[in-house]
This record gives sequence, structure tokens and C-alpha cells, in this order.
Amino acid sequence: MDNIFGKSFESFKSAAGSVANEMGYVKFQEGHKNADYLMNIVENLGILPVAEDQAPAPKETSALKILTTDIELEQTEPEVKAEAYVQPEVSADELAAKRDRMSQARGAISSIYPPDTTTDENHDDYIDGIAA
Amino acid sequence: MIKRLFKHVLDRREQERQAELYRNFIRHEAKLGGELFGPIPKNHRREFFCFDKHTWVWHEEWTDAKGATHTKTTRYDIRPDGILKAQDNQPYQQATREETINLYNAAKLYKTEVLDKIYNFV
Repeated sequence: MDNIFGKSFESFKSAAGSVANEMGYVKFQEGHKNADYLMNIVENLGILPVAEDQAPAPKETSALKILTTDIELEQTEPEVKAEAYVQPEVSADELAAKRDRMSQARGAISSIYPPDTTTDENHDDYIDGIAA
Repeated sequence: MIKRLFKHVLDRREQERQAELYRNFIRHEAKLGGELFGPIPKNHRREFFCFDKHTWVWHEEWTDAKGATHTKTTRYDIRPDGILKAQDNQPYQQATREETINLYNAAKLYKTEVLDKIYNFV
């Protein structure tokens, strides 16, 4: 780093002494901040080429996009979808038989685990909801 | 009164000394900054430096075959929404994409090759 502008940097530093140290520190910090400022702005412009090895791997976003497309495709056929969810007609006898089976299942479970009296009513609601 | 005058003169000298020191640092940065872009052709003088947060300068000076001296100074104005440049007191214009990327790479190198080398004594 000698002979810069006809004066070596080393002699310049030693002649400037401690003031150079102080100012050098300030200039160093300032310079780094300024370079970072410029770099941040350019990065935010989104114009920097992405190196191949740094390119983001196809991941959730593209998968999500495919999923979203699929969902959209499904939604373009609402009638078909609606038909698929039509409840089959259940006779009163079948419903009663189903309730019996559920009741037996609950009995079997309660013989293993003591009934939870605090939430039993809620469980009934839940089971009745499925049965209906 | 004399004491105040004496202090004023001393303060002023200190300020001048610091200003001179600051300029010298900038000169050293400019010189090394000019070397970031490869070999400098004969009869060319190239400088590149950061003046402040919003200003980067590229200065090129050369002598042609007829002995005439030419200079071109490019000033880059760093704004939150992009980079503007002005050449030789011409109006500002938007830096091209390629030039902006080059400036980005230059600033990156400037940090490691200029700042870190010049101020490694701190």
C-alpha cells in the first residue's frame, strides 16, 4: 500500500497519529454502513441474478400452487362435489340399530375406562351427531 | 480575551487537520477503489469511492494519443427506490439494470478490498 498519491499510507498513518486511529475507526464503520445501505437497496429492487446453487429448491410454494390449482379445479365442478356429499336416506330402523351399536361400543369402552362424568353429556351430543 | 482567541485558533487548526485527514482517507479509498475493476490502462487514472451514504463516485481521467486530457466523473445517487446517476454535470438518469448490478458488486468488493485493508490498523 505504498506510494499512494506520492506518500506511503504507513507514513501518512504514523504522521496522523491517534487522530487517524479515531477517524479511521469512524470511516471504517461509516464505509461499511454505506456499502450495506447500497447493497440492501439493490437487493430490494429484486434485479440481482440468482446463482444456480443458491436458487430456492422447489418446495412448499410450488406444491401449494399445485394443490391450490387442484382445489380450484374441484371447485369448478360444484354440482359433482355436492352430489358426492348427499346424505343417503336412512330408515328409522337402521338409525335405531346404529344407535344400539354405538351404545354397545360405549358400554364396552366404559367397562375398560371409567366414564368421564364431566364430559359425558358432550360425548352424547357428539355421538348423536354422528348417528343422526 | 487572548485565551479565547488562542483557543479559537487551536480549535480551527484541529478542525482543519481533521478535514485534511478525512480527505486523505477518501483519497486512499478512491485510489484502491479504482483498482477493483482490473488493471488500469496506461495514461489512465481511475478512482472509485464512497463519498457518503447517498453518494458513490467513479472518476476516470486519461490522456489520448494526441496528448489531450479527458475526464469523466460519474456520480451515483443512492435513493431508497433505486440508483440514479449523473455524468459530468448532466441531469440525473436511472442507472440501467446491468450498471446497478455492477455497482452492487463493486460496493461488495469495496467493503472487503478497500475498507478492510485501509482500516485494518484500527
